[in-house]
Order: sequence, then structure tokens, then C-alpha cells
Amino acid sequence: MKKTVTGSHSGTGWWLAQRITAVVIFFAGLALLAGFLQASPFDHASWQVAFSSMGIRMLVWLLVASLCLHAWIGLRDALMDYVKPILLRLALNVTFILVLAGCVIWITEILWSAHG
Amino acid sequence: MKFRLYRFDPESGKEAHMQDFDLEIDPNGKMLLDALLELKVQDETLAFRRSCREGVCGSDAVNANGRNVLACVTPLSSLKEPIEIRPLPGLPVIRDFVVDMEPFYRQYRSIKPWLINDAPEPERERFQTPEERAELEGAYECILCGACTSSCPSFWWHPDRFVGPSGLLQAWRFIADSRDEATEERLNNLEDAYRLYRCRGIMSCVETCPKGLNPTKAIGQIRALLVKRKV
Repeated sequence: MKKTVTGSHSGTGWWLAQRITAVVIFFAGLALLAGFLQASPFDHASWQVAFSSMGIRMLVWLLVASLCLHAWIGLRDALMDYVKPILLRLALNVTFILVLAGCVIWITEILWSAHG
Repeated sequence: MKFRLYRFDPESGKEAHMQDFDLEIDPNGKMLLDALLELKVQDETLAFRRSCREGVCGSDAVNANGRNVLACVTPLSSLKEPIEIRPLPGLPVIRDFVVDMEPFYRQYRSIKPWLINDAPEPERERFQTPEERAELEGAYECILCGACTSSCPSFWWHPDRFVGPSGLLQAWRFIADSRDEATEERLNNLEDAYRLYRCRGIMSCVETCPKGLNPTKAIGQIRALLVKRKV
């Protein structure tokens, strides 16, 4: 069969997700930057205190998770544009998903394991 | 004036190449199409399309000095020498500046560019209020020259899947029409990862449109409806 087929009705969802994660990255990034610039002294002890707060941990997690989802949508778009062979694209898609999902699991582990 | 023209004739067996021309022509008050017609007198094998010579038919879109223009409404004096003319990018070249517009028309057909209304026909015509008619401003004027769509990298990468700026502007023209009843169907037709969402908003289409239309805005309006429907 040689027919041109396109995706399911998922365009709007991905587009929205990309915009929403961008907004989250902007505001969470801004809030964290402002917080860290105010924090003094800038040492291990103050970081320990900062990261013992659930709010900060959630904010950092949200930032990283949004960044990963945002990156995934962008990478998927780039792959759709430039990688035409389906098998290669699928393989790259899976690779990127695994790497990015790994990042989210890793940041979760980092944020919550140290403080238990 | 100095010209560099893209030449390709599949029957000659020669590769596509650029050919230099010198033309005695006073650019004052003349359009690029006037020069092309003069050049054709010099070399009658030069092939290009033209018809109305006043920016209405949309036949003579070419790429002049890297921009897609309608030759008949582009003042010669606005172009820097040597004037380099190529066929519209992203479409198969048939000969010289004559391109195969089929990929463009196929996408145009795919958005069903006609009014869909199954209601019984009224005695006279389907009326619109002035406000309803105003919704079509900036959407109905498209002359289908292909300048915008062939300047769009997303269309170059996906001519078979991405509708392209011109087709999406036309899709909006019918979605916005108060007499059209197929809005849902039209939105369904566009809501996948390729048909509308390959638009990355670089606005090449807006910059190049010889009629001053804004396909990016129309795409945004369709997207707003898609989002409204979703959330």
C-alpha cells in the first residue's frame, strides 16, 4: 500500500503542551533564579535548607519535567521534518523518550532520596 | 540591465544552469514582467507563465533575487542587479520558470474550497450581515499564485502532508464564512500533527504575499478554534 497517511487528532494537544510547558519553564525558572539570587550565604548549608522545603523541590521537579516534555515535543517535530525512514525515526523517538524519561526519574530520585 | 536566469529544458538533456543576459531597458515605470517579455524576444526558448499582467491571475510568480514575487507587479527599479530569477522553490520544475503547481493545488483541494451547506436553498440567496461579511476580509482575496506556500520550509519538507499557508488561509476563509456549516469537519481535517501544526510561525508567507495577506494570522485563528474545541 502506498498511501500518504498522517497522524491522529493529536496536533492540538501537543501544541498546547509545548506552550504550557514553555510558560511553566519561564515562571518556575524565574522564581528559582530569584530565590537563589536572594539566598545568602550561597553555601552548602543554605542549599540544604532550601531543598528541605517541599515547595522548592516541587518547583525544581516541575521545571525539569516541563523542560523534558518541551524538549521531547521539539525533538519529535524535528525528527518528523528531517528523518523520513519510519524505522529510524521510531528508533530515535524511543531513544529520546528513554533518555528524557530517565532524566525525570533521575531528578525525582535526586530531589527526594537525599531528604527521604 | 543585467539578468541571471535559471534555465532548464528537460528535452535538451542538459542540466539546469544559470544564464546571463544583458538587456537594454529603461526600468522607469516598468515591471519585471516587461523585462521577461523583452528577454523572451532575445531568446524565444525562455519559458514562463503570465496572463493578466496586473497582479490578479497569479500566473507569473517567480523567485527574484531570493524573494517570491509576482513579476507583473514588481517594479524593475526595486531589484538589485544582476537580477537573479529562478522558478518558485519547492515545486518540481517543468521548464525554466514554469513549475508543476500540482502539489500546491492538491493541498488546496484537500481543504474543500467551496461552501458546504446542506440546508434547503432559500428563495433568493444566503444572506450575510455586513459583520459576517467582514469576517472574510483578508481571507478571500488570495489569488493562488503559490508565492507563500513555495516560500514555506515546512511545505518544502512535507508537500504531501502540510497544507501550506495558502491552503490554510483558504481553509480559514470557509471556516469563517457564516454560510458554511462544515466547521467541525474542516477542523477535523486539519487537526493532526502535519496538516496545520507543521506551521512554525516563521511568517515567510506574510512577507512574500504579493496581495499583502496574512496566512499566519489565519492559521492562528484556526488554531484558536482547535484549542477552544479541545479545552
